[in-house]
Formats: sequence, structure tokens, C-alpha cells
Amino acid sequence: MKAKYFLMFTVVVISGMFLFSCDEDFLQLENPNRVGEEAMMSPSGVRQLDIGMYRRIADAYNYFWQLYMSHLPGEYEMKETTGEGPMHQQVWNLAVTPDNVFNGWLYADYYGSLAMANRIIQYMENGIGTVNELPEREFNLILGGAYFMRAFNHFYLLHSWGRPFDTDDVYGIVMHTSIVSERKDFEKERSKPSEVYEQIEKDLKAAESLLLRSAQLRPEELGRPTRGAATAFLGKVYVFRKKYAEAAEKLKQFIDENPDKGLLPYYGDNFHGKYENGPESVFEIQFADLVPTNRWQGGGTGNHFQIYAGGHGMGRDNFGVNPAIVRREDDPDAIPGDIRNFDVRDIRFSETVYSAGPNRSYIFHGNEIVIRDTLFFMNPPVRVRRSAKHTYTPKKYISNRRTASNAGGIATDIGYENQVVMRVAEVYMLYAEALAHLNRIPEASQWLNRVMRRARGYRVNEVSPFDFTGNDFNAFMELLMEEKRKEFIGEQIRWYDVIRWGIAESEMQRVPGRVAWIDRGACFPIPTREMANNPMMVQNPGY
Amino acid sequence: MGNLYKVTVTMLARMLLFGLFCFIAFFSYGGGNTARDHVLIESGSLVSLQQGLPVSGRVVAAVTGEPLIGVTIFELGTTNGAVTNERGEFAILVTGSASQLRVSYVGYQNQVIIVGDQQVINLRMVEDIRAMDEVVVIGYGVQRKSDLTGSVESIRTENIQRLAVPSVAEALQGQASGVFVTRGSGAPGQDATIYIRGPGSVNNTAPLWVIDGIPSSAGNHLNLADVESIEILKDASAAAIYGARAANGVILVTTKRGKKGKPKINFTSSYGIAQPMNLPDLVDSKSFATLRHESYRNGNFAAGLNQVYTQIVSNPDTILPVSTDWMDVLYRNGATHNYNLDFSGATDQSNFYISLGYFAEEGTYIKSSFERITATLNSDHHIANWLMVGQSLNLSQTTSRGKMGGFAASLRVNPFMEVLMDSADHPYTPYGVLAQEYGFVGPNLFGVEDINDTEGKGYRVRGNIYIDLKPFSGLSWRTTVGGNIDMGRSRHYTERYDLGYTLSRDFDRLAIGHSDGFGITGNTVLNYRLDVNRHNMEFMVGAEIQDARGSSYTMIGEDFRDGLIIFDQSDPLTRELRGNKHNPTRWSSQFGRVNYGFDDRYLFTFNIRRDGSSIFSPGNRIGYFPSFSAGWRVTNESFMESLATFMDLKFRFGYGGVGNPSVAPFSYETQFSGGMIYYVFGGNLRTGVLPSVFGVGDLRWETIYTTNFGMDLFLFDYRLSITNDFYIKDTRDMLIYVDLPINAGMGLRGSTALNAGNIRNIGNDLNIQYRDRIGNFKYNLGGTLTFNRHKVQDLVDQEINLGELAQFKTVAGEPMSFYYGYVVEGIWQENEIDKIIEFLIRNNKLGNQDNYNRHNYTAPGDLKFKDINGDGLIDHRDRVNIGSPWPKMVYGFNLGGEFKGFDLYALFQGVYGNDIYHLNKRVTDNLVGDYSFTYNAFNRWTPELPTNQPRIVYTDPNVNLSTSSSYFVESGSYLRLKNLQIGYTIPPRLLSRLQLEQFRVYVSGQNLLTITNYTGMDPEISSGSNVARNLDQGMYPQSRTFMLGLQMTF
Repeated sequence: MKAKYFLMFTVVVISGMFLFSCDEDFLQLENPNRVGEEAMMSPSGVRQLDIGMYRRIADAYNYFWQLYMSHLPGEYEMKETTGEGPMHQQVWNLAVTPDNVFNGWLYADYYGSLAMANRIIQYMENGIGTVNELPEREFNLILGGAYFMRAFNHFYLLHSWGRPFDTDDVYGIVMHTSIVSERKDFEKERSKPSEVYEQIEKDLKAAESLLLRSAQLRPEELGRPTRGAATAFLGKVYVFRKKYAEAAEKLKQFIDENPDKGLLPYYGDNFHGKYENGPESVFEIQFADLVPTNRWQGGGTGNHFQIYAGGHGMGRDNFGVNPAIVRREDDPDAIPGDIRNFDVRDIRFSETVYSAGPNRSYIFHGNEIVIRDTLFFMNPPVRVRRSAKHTYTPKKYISNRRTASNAGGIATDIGYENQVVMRVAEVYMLYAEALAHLNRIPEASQWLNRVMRRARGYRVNEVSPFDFTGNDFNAFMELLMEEKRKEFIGEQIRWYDVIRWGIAESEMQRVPGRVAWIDRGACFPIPTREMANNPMMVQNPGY
Repeated sequence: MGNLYKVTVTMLARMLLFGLFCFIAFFSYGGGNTARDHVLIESGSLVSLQQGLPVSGRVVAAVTGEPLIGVTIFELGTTNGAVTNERGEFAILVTGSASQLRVSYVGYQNQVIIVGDQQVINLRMVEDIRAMDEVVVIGYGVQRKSDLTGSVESIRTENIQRLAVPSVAEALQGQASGVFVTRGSGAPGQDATIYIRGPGSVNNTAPLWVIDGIPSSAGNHLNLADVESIEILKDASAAAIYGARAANGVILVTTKRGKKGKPKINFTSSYGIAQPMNLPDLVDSKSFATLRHESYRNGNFAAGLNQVYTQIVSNPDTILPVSTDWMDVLYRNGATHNYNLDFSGATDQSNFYISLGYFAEEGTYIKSSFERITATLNSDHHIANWLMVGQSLNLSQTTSRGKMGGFAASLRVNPFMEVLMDSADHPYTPYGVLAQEYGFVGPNLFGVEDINDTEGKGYRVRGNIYIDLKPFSGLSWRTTVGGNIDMGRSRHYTERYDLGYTLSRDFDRLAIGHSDGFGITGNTVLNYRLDVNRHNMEFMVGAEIQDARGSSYTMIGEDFRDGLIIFDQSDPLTRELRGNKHNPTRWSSQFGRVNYGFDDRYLFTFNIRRDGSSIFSPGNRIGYFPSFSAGWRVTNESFMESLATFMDLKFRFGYGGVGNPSVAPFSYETQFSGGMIYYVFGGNLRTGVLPSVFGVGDLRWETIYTTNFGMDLFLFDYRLSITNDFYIKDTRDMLIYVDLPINAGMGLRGSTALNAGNIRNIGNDLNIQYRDRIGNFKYNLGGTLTFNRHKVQDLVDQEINLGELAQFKTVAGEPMSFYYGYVVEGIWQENEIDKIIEFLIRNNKLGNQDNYNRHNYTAPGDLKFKDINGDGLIDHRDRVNIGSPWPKMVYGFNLGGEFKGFDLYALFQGVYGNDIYHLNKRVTDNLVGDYSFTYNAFNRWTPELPTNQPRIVYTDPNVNLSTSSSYFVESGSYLRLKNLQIGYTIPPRLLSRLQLEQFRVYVSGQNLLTITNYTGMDPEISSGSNVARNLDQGMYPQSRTFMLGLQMTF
């Protein structure tokens, strides 16, 4: 019987351990999936936040940002009435509803990136955790980048969902300069546009002091914001704020400090991955074919722009380029003598659109039309399905290289080209605009002429018959505005200029099929989700 | 922490080993005794080893006179025993004339007979229908039903075991009051959803399943044939012993163990044919062209789009070469197979139960199926009078195949499309496609199924081992260690395809998913029973720890050159790793219970559980869940003695609190997640993180407090039983995901979990059963009836709006997810054009923003929405509550009868007072988008024949049908004959020569009859969450099944 008591004793003792298993330490589990805030306060944490910050912006540019913004000045058109079509139609009609999800996604991407920038700045400025262990060069690149991106996000938020040019109105944006962690942080009212601008300028100056010039970047750092990008952006902000003297100074500084930057000899080389982060690039959103991108779910490192904007055979043929906006003067439909016509020499026309128009030869091949541009033989022939819905389809950022077959599992309609946010041509034109306002028109024309010459096949230093030689401010500005339009079609620059120059009303009238200008069109509505959950928010006028 | 986990696991492993050691040791230690017992048992029926008095006789059923096989006869105070043979005869040697024989048989009343000088004892056994003496399983123990004070519902399993259903949950349909079960669709292997006493939360409201004492999940892995009993703990006073996870009720499942008597082999099999129910009758080509043409015309579409249809319509004599009946192509008669073989037996020392089961459902949609193989081994062993050990082990494997999209997809067909076609244009695949002239974007669904090869496999091992000590009389100490291992594998291979001009891919694709889960639970329970005079006391204390973890990932590869399907790890373009998730949780709990009964009249139960959970933030991990209940057995009072009709009457009262931890683990802290977050610098891939959870730091479980008033009444010799429970169930601190404004940086749909809401459910559960006999005809009738209504009392300045058309709204003061939309007051008629124009002008002039396009293109034939607030506009302010998805009443009733070997069983089940949002109508009747029509579309409004069904307009340009309105809300009440079964049992005397104990054949039908006014496919719908319920977008059709079955016992 001893065995009985021994066994019972043992079982009782072991079972009894269950009863005392109420130790809270037992419940303390590490979460293996994810990492908490404290894990971010380290060199590797900050490196990862940094990538997240750029990813959110890449998301914004990935799908439709460019398409969306291009409806406003009437550059791109969408004919679909189902699916995503109506949401694009809303933009075209200046009738974006607060529940338009594209509007919401874009707004969310900027705030998402902003939240990451604020985390980085807060950790690094205060040396929280072990972030100071980062090597100095990397530390400055990441922190400087965060300042740049904070300014970048505030700038685009302000210009898309605020009314920046009524500077003392309430229609700025909700501005964040620290981590949002509590209710009071996100239940916040809009700052005035002037306050947002102050912050943008402050952040860009901070970025300028931390970042490196593009020539100093190591190959593995290419694509990061540079000191030059901060300088140029600050110049752009000054132009937008009509501080022309400061603008001219900053833009000149960019030109002087960055001898490696200038116009590419051939305009079309900006859009097809040939000179990514190259001589003409000031700041680009980076895409690559390193990780395949799922066609409908995103992910990867590719760019969905091509799916929607690519013509048949290259994409989904959802978007066309508005033929009334992009028209060469030899087109039978063109209004003779209209300044908006591309002249026959203008390379930008055939680099902006794939078209079946004059000076094109057609080869019918089964279901496809092979189009060859007879004027510019350097353009590769294009294969377009006969059923294409649009006369012109976008060419910028559309790859030819994958139209023949899918290479190694990469879907044929995913693009991998960087999306240019700012390039030297814009810097020159902003500089020219600032100088013109400072009554230095001959000097200003130099910079405008460079862009115009390149556009027509001349070298930038070569005098061309298209050069502006006068001294009349109005004539100069009219030409500059028109040249800037042609230079940047589909590059989401135009609309902000349209609003800034106050030409929205006349611009609307010039585009066939557009609604009459409505004042609310100057900005998008604040998305429903923001309105519903931020009690301090006020909706933009007219929405 | 990691250490502690290791220590615990090591400890548990040692306990297991130690248990095994004890098992072996004591088998040899107590060997002498055990061996003697064995001999004696055998001697009882056959040969005498000692002097004794031989007694023999025959046992028959009192009513039928049929011999009873397997009746056990034991001499009290000895180990002598015998069992009746196939003729009902027995022989036993007893010690003397003073001996007492106990005669027992399952389902019959025990008898004790004094032998006296009788040498032949013939007995008539009387059936035992006194349910109050039944023992029911409650948490961590058992209790006599008569002693229960909480609300516990026991399910009689013998009827439901003949159902051919994939899940145990579904078998509970109509069986228990207060329990609302729906199988959401007829998809093979589909699990059912259960609500116990209404929805207590916007979150998960699934009950906690406890299988053989271990919290586990049943899903479609558990074989119904292995289930011995099911108990449902409905109120907090019963469920509180399961604490923080018991808020939605607890379902206790006990699997079968061997029973005393000679070893038995049971074999059951059934085969059934399943017909898809209520498939929509899609139109033929000519009708399709007519309707499509009309819808284009109404939608002002350019002529180019519909020239094919125009041609057909303008030449009515055109003979159309193709008119595919897609329902015929895509659906078929399915089949169910159910085979179970078990082998069980018991001696005084040990019992065992071994079973093998095979269940298969061949779906009614082409290429879809579900298959399950299960094996069970259960045993218990009395090693000594103070030591018992036992185990349960259950293995299962499930396989699901086929069916790519939802049902709505199977309406996306065009009769002009051929199923198969030869065409040089479509090089990879032979499926028919439509030319673009048809203006129809939709795949060849036959092709979709054919090119996709999907298979999901699930493997589960679940088991436990226990040691039960009885150091002295009244005390038992049971320690159980259980675990489960789950593995899932999915494989989805898609050939390259060309299914029409919008659907093609010129490379193959393979996705392989893997998931695994591992859980271990250990508990120890100390039970002490003390009976002093008229005081009965039972004390229980126990503790439990649980650790569960798992992970999952998916790998995707594309473009397998040369048809070689392998993942090339070195090539980043052909493989992609997606999602790698782990979800660990830990629980640590202590609990106790005191039962006190005085004189079998006054009964009290007090439960308490202290639960610790890793799911919540460190300050909020520990919770206490007390409950109290009391019962009064009125019939045991002396003043009731004169009332002979009342066999038993008990009043019960209970109150308690239980918890619901329905939030993802670690939701309390801000978290970042990596994976798929890429950016590129200098051509180098960089990976980053983004915030995935916005943590507010302070989260705790929601708590549900239930007050329960109950009554159990037995009348007329226990023939009639009535159980009624009235309850009030209050949910406090409900966990809800509160929307964040976008500026918080969490994306467009960012949200954070908060304890912020209260809900109250009030209801009544009634269960009435009557059983009696008229001569040889035995019958029973019964019904369950449940009323429940609930209201969200508080939702912290939140509104939950869900649905494509925001048709589900949850706000304080209303039930959850009521339908929200416009009230339709008819159809705009031809003579009302002026009014329409007036409306349009007014809406446009006032710049009615939220409905900027609501009325553009509005024309006669469209729905006329009611201007609720009378401001002359139709806008969001005119949207109101237009229906509720929650039934006011859920009911079921069953009838059974037996006559001379024939038996009949019928189960009806129904709900009353709920609505369904019949969105599918928009597709089948009105065409919004590229779908086919049913013939019902011909009832549309036309100027010539104005009906109540709106006109058909392609793409619905004025959002007439794509807005939430009462046009889509229909009553979802129904009554369904869920199961009808007729069987015949061959009389035992005919079977004895075949060495068979029982042989029964039966025919049965499922879903034979449905009475409903609902116009959709099936009113038995359970789609969506608690805040977006019952949206009928079409579903995998339920089946009507005809079955032939067979049951045999050797």
C-alpha cells in the first residue's frame, strides 16, 4: 500500500501545481507577428519606418493619382460608366462626392506617410531608444528625408483638400507634427493655410540642412530625397506663395549647386526608365521589377499605372488622352492658329500619346493595328487592338518592353517605371516664372527657351526659331503657361497651376464636354470617413 | 516566460509519462484482484466455481413482449452477474435464497428482485421515462438533472444521429429551445452558425465548444455518430464556470464510451441523393435578347452596343443556334454518403469504444465536394478502487474541392455563350466565349471550374488523458491533459486560360497554403461530496491552463515553363510568399463551485471562475466571473403530495456574469507589420513596416450578465414535460471597432478596438415534450419555442453602417444591423412625368449633394421613394428603418412513433418575424450589370402593362435599384420539414439466427417541404456578421436530400 500513497501524493502535488498556475507571467506572450512601438525606436526600426513612409506615397502614385489629377485639367478621359468609371467621371464633372473611395484612398495615403514621417522625426530628434546608434550619414538621410516627406505630404494635402490661396481662411488641413496616439490628436481642427505653409517651409529648410546633394549620393542611396530636391521644392512653394524674390533665389541656388542636373537631350527619355534618378530628375517615386506586383491586389514593387492607362495590348485601355487637349496642328480636327495645338515639330506630342492620326502608318495584323510614326522614326511601332476604345492612349510611363510576351511571370500590364514628381524642366519654368514676376523677362526667357528648344528637337543651347525674345510680361506668361501645359501633360502638375493662376474658369470652357466652372472644384471634398469621425472637421465649401 | 512555457510543457509531459507508468505498475500490482474478478464474471453466466443456487429466466419488454437482449443481471453485494442472450434468456448462480438481483437495461427502470425460492424468474421490464433522474454533464462534472439550478438543455442524440449533415452544429437545428441554428448555404461541408439566446454582441457570438472536457472547436471535423450526449449551457449561472469565454453559451459534447454488456459492433450506413433546391429558372436566348434589348433601350445606350439583340428583336423569326441553360450545365444532383463502424465493450475494469467514420457530400455545383474520415478511440480503466485512468483520441481528415465564387457569380452567364467551342482564337482552352458584340462581360463558368483545381485538406488530432483519484469516499481528484494538432493544406492550380476578352492569362499559376495549430490544455478538478442527513453538499475546485498557437502562410508561383510545377526558390519571379501569421493565446484559470441541497427541496449553486487571458492588456488580463443560482423542488414539499398529477415541479433562479474575448490578440497595443511593404533605393529592394493596429492600451473583455427564471414541470406520470426559461441578458463593455478619422494615419478604413457599447437581450425559451403509448403504438410529440428580442442600448456616439449600399445600420436604441433605406411607395407611372421632372429640378436646384445623381435619368417605371420628412427632396434624410434580420420567434417541433417494428420521426423547424434583404432580385429580375435574367423579369413594368416590378434598365443609371430601399426587404419567415424518417426494425427473434442484435432500415428525407412567402432562393440564410446580416446575394443552393439507410448491431 505504500505505493498507493506515494502515487497519490505525487499526483496530488503535480495536479496542485495547476491550481497555482495563476502567475501573470504565464500570460505575458510576445507577439510573433508584429512589432510594437518600442521595437521601432532602434536603428533597424527607424530604417523600416523610413521604407513604410515612402511606400505609402508609392501607393498613392501606384494606382490612379496621376489619372485622377489628369481629369481636372481635362487631359485624360475615361469612358467607362461602370466599375471605377463613375468615380473618375465625378472628377471630370467637379462633382467628387465625399464617399468617392479614390478621394479617400489618396487622402489616407498622404496621412499614412505623414504619420510615419512624424514617428521618425520624433524618435530621431529626441534620440529615443537606440536610434542614435545609426551612422551619421544614414541618420541624416533618414531624418532629412522625413522632414522632406512631411513637407511633401502637407503640401499635397493642402493643395488637394484645402484652399491654400485663401491663406487666412479656415480651409487649411489637419496638420500633424507629432505622433498621433490619443483621441485628442486625431479629433483636431484644420490649421490655416498660412500655418501649413510656415510648417512646410520650416521642414524643407530642415531637410535642406540634413540631406546630401544628388552628386554625393552613393549608388545604393539613389532615389532618396536630396538637398537639391528640398531646395527646388522650397522654391516651388515660394512661387506658389508669390514670394518671387525668395523663389528666384532658391531656384537659382538649385541650378548653381547642382551642376549635374539639367535637361535630358531627348524629352521622351524621361518616362521610360532610361534615366531614372538621372540628370533631369529632382524627385521621383521609385518603382522596379524586383518583386512581382499582383494585378489586383497590389503588393510588389511595380506600378499599376500601366494597367489602366495602357492601350489595348499594353494595359486595360481604360483611359485615353483627351484628343481635344492633345492635338497637333496638322490634325484635321485642329482649330487653325490655336495656341493649344502642338506644332508639327513638337516632340512632346508623340511622346505624350499613342495615336492613330496623321503621319502614322497602319499595318493591319489580325486583331491588331501596328502603328508606325512616319515623322519620328525613332519611335518604336505600336501594336494596338482594333477594338481600342480611345483615339489616343497615354504614352508616358507606358512600357513597350513587355508587350511582346510576359517576361518571367511578370504580368504584361504592370509597369515598373519611376513616377517623376519633379524634374529640372519644372525648376526652369518655375524659375522663369519667378524672374518674369521680378521683371527680369530676358533672363526668364533663357530658361523657358531651353525647355522649348528641347521640345522641338533643338539642343538646349542652340538658338531656335521658337525662342521667346520679347519683353512683354503678358505675352511671356501666356507662352509659359501654355508651354508648361504641353510639357507636363499627365504629370499631375497642371491642376495646381490652373488654380494658382486663377484660370480654372476659362480652362473649363476650352475643354469640350466639361461642366461650367464651379467654385468648389478648387479642391476635393473631405472624405466621409474623416468627416464622420473627426468632430472638429469642417467640410470644404460647396460639398 | 519562454521558460515557464517550457517548464509547463515538460511538467505536462512528465505527468503523462507518470500516468502511463502508474497504469502499467498498478495493473501488475493489483493483478491478483483483477484476475479473480474476471473469472468470476465469466463464471456468473457459465460455469460455477463455487457452490450456489442456479437461477434462470427470460426478460421481455412489458409492453411489446419482445425479448430484451443484453439486460444485465447482478447479484448485489457480489460480483456475480449475467447478460441475457438473443432470446432474452439468462442463467446465473446466486449465493442463496436471500440474494437480491439487480436487473438493469438502458432506457428501462431498474428492478431489484429477491430470489427467494424461485428458480425461474421471468421479468417484464418497464421503460424508464423519468427524465429527472438522468445525469447531465455540466462544466467540470456531472449532475442529476433534478438537482440542476441553471439553464442546461440536454439534446437527445438518437434522432439527430441519423441526419446526414457535416457538422454537429447543424444537427442541433430545431432540437433545443433558445438555440438558433442556420446552415448558411448548401455548399458541401458547410458549417452552421449558432446563436444561443440571441446576439449578445456585434462581435463573434459563436458559443464555446467543450469536447470531452477540453475547450475545442467542432466545426465539420467532429463525427456526429461518435457523440454520446450534447448539453447546452444557456444562462450565465450554468456557463460561468467557463468564465471569460462563455458569454455566448457553452456546448458540451461527450463522445461515446463502451457500455457494460457483451462487446458490440455497430454499423450504420446511408446513401442519399441531393437535389439543388429552387435554382433560378434562367431565360433562353431569345428572351434574353428581348430583355437585354429593352434594358439597353431604357438605359439610352448607344446602338453599337446592342446590335445583336436589336437584330434578334426586330426579326422575331430568327432561329438562334445557341441557347445554353447554364443552371443545367453548372448544377447536378449531388450525393451524400455516411458510413460508420464502431466496436465497443466494457467489463467492470475497463471499457473501450473504437470507431471509424466516413462522410461525404458531393456538391450540387459541378466539381464541388466534401469528404471526411474520422477515427475515435476512447477508453476508461479502473485500476484500483481508488484509481481510474482514461483517454479519448479523435483523428479526422477533411477534403474540400471545387467551387470558385459565390452563387451570384453563377448568374453571371449569357445563354448565347456555348459551353465548349472550337476556335483558333482561343489557343489554350476549348471553352466557349462571347464575341464583344454581345456587350457582355462574363466568363465561361464551366471553364472557370474546369481550369481551376482546388483542394483544401484539414487534418486534426484531438485527444486527452486523465487520471482520477479517489483517496477516500466522497473525494475525487481528476487531472486531464488534452491537446489538439491541426494542419491545413490548400492547393489551387489554375491552368493558363482564355475565357473571353476580359478574362485571360497566358501562364499557369499555383498557390499552396499551409496552416498549423497546436493547443494544449491541462486541468485538474477536485470534487468532494458530503451527504449528512438531509444536507447534500458538493464542492468543486479546479484550475486550467491553455496554450494555443498556430501559423499560416501561402506560396504562389506563376509561369511554370515546360509544365514543370515546382517552386524555384532561387527565382524571385516564380514564387511569392504571402502572409505568415501566428496567433498565440494563453489562458490561466481557477474555478470553484458549491452545490448545496437540503432535503431534495432547496437547491443552491454558487460558481466562480478567475480567468486570465493573454489577449488583453496587462492590467486587464484577470477577470472574475461569479454566478449564483437556486432551485426549489416544489413537488417534494409535503403540501404537494395530494397533487398526484404533478410528478415533479421545480422553480429555478440564476444570475451571473460571463465574458466574451472577441478581439484579436494584442489589439491593445500599437503594432507594426512588415511583409509586402517594399520600396526601392538605388535598385535595391528595401522592406519596411506600416502600423497595423492602433492600440488604445486599455482593453478588456465584454461581460454579459444574465438573469434567468426557469421552471421544470413533469406531469402525468412523467409523460408530459415542460421546461420554460425567461431571461434578461445584458452585454456590457462590448468590444467594438471604432472608426478612426483618416488623419490618424491608419488608412481609409482604420479603426481601433474599444470597450464601448451595451446590448440587452430579453427572451423566453420553452420546451414541451409529450410521450405516451396507445396499445402497441408508442409516440412522442415535442416542440421548442424561442422568443428573443434585443436592442443596442449604447454605442458611444457611433453608428455602424455596412453594406455596399450602406443598407445595414447599427445605432443605439435599435436592434443590430437593421435595414436602412428608402420606403418605396410604388412605381412612377406614365402620367406622373411632370412630377418626376419637378422632383429633378428641385433636387438639382438645391444642389442636393449626397444624391447628386439619384434622379437623373429617372423615368416612369422606376421606384418611387417616399419623401418621409416632406421637404420635397429625396435624400439621405428620408432613409429609415425598413426591416430587421432578426427573427422574433424560432421554433421546432418533432413527432415520433413506433409500431410493431416501424418507426417514424419528423422534425419541423422554422423562424418567424425576420426580414431578408433580397439583393439578388436586382440581378435576376432587373439586370444591373452583366447577369442573366429569370423569367420573372418579364413581370417588369412597361407602359403597356404597368406592374409593381420596376422596369429594367441596363446599369441602373439613376441608382434606382442600387440604393437601399424597401423594394428588396422581404419577410424571411418559414416553416420547413427538416427531416422525415421512416424505419423498420426487424424483430430480434428473426435476427438471432444471423447473430445480429439489431437490424434497422430506413428512408429519410431532408428539406422536403418549405412554407414561406420569401421569393428568393432560400429563406434559411445566414450571411454576414452581426452588424451586416442576411443579405441575400444568392448562395450555394441548399439541397433536398433523399436517403436510404441501414443500422446493424452485432
